[in-house]
Amino acid sequence: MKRRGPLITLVLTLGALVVILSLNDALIPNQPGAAEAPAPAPAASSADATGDDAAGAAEFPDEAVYAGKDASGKVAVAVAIKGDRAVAYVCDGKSFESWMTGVVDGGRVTLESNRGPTIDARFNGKRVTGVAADGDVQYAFDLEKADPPAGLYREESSDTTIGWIVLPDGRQVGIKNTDGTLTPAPRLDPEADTAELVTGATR
Amino acid sequence: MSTAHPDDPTAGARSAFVIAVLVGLMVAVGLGTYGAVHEPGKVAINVAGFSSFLAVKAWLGTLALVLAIVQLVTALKIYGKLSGGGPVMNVLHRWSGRAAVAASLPVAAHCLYIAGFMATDARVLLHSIAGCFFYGVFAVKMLALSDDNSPGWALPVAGGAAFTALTVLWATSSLWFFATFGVTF
Repeated sequence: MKRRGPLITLVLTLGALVVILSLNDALIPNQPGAAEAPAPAPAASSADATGDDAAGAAEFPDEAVYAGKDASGKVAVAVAIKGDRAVAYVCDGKSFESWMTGVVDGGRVTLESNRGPTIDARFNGKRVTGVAADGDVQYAFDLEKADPPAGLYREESSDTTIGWIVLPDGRQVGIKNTDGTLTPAPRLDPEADTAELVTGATR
Repeated sequence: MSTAHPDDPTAGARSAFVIAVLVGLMVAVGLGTYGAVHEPGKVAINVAGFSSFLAVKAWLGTLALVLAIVQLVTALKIYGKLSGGGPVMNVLHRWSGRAAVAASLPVAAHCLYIAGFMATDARVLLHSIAGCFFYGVFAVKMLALSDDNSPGWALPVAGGAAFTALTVLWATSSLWFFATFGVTF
């Protein structure tokens, strides 16, 4: 005897997965305003995926650094706040980095680099959630507070700039930029090395 | 399959179950392949009331785990390993299972679309493997369920494997999220 219920369940489940993934590809081409894009799955929504403008009314503290990996784990992101000024650094520890500067407006921070990448993020009172965009590629992140020795570090000499993001758990992600040639950064000893702890006012 | 004697009444059942396992393998490998070759998505989404979609996923995953525990208990009762049962257990088992899979779907879709199959560290790799395995086992179980001739051990084994996979999935994602960010929404 064949029982049809489980087959229907199976077909509906796998079908829903395929539909969600195809709809994502079809409906969400790489638009930069993707932070406002609707939830991909009806089941996930309590119908109103309105983003976090209303809820994220918290204001940034005067000075703080937030750091973490993006949702895919490919890049690390650090955002340093000081007053109404901000500095951010995004890098993958291998061959991609971007320094950005920007402004703080209440609980929102927007940053850009003169080479293109941008960040738009919001503070929820505890963590910083947002998107780093580099052309078509976007990295969603959810950063937690990174107090020293964690944080964002930079060391500059005449032809070399090294950036390090030290995550709250001590892991480091960094890039050494020698006249435009990007290589993984050497290990940083935040206590001993001469690297500068970057704040939102660092330029 | 060609070795089975045509008069052997169990041969058809056996080959049907072999097909179920093959379909499950295809599902698991298919998801893993999609995750590996698909250009990761670039979209940050959120649901009102939650601090981030990671939090949404962590809670949906937790909901799925709770429903999976209902699955385990009702299965034990259906098989007489726990006292108290009756037809209501069948209904409860069926619908808690459907609800668990439904809760897992947006989470899986987000993982596959935004991240894909990844091996950046042990947790991420284990999660990727368990995720593909879970839907493969789910397919095997649904196919085995639909056929009364499938071997008696097929359902307990597939159900146990699905429960184990979901527990691993939860531990490598929701538990990690709560341990990292605190039990927040």
